[in-house]
Amino acid sequence: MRPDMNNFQKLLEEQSSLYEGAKRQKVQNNLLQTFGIFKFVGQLIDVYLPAMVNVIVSSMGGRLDENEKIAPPDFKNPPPDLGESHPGKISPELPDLDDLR
Amino acid sequence: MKDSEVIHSYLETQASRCFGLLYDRYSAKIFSKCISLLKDEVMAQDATQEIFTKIFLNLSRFGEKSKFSTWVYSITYNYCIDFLRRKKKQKDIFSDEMEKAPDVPDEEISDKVLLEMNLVQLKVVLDNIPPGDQAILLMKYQDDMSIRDIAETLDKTESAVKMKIKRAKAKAQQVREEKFTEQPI
Repeated sequence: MRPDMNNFQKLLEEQSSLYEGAKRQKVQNNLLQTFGIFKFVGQLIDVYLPAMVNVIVSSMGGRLDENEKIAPPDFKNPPPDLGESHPGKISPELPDLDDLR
Repeated sequence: MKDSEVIHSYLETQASRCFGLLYDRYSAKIFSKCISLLKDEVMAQDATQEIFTKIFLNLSRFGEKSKFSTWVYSITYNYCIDFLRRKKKQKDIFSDEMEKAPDVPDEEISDKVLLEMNLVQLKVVLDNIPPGDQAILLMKYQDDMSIRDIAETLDKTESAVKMKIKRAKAKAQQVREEKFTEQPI
């Protein structure tokens, strides 16, 4: 005990000395075990939660997978095989006005 | 290695070495406070484990506004007070009883009265005052917490804390006189 301690602090030191050996080790081991479980559960959630969300969304008829997203059509730069018939370049043919009359 | 460095290191790496360091520094002190307030070794041991779990689960929320030890002791006192409140079904262990206690002297009791007691006397006195009063005396004299820190810990105003300290000192003095009238301090 340090000489500059007051009686309250000396009491703290005295009671702290009760917490030695097996007791101290037991609590430490329990804590490490608890944190190990938390870590494991956290890892499980990290791995399986996104997959579970995908399953639920798919079962409800939605699509969430980023890789399966359909790209919006690029009207300014049509792919070469579509050429002039690309809907972004040429509008659909207008009906003949004579037919409407 | 300072507490703050250990905490940053733990949050980055989750290394059990950092956990071990903080455990070595604080576990015995937490246990000591728990045994003072709960008065049962087994309960104190369980409480120490739960308090440490709380501390480590909330470590990222420690804002470094106060010392780490103050934060740790705040969690400890609040845990023990909640535990006793649940156990005794008391509404408020820290309820203001000043109106109900007209015998509390107006003059300030000197700290010397408390600080001159020997360990046996101090233990008896602390065991015979309400846990709320005991906790507030431990915060002030054992942990050297400021009035502001105590107020934050207990979620009370600073003036309420000063009143509670005064009342706790008066009760401690009263118990000392009752139990040790024939013995010199």
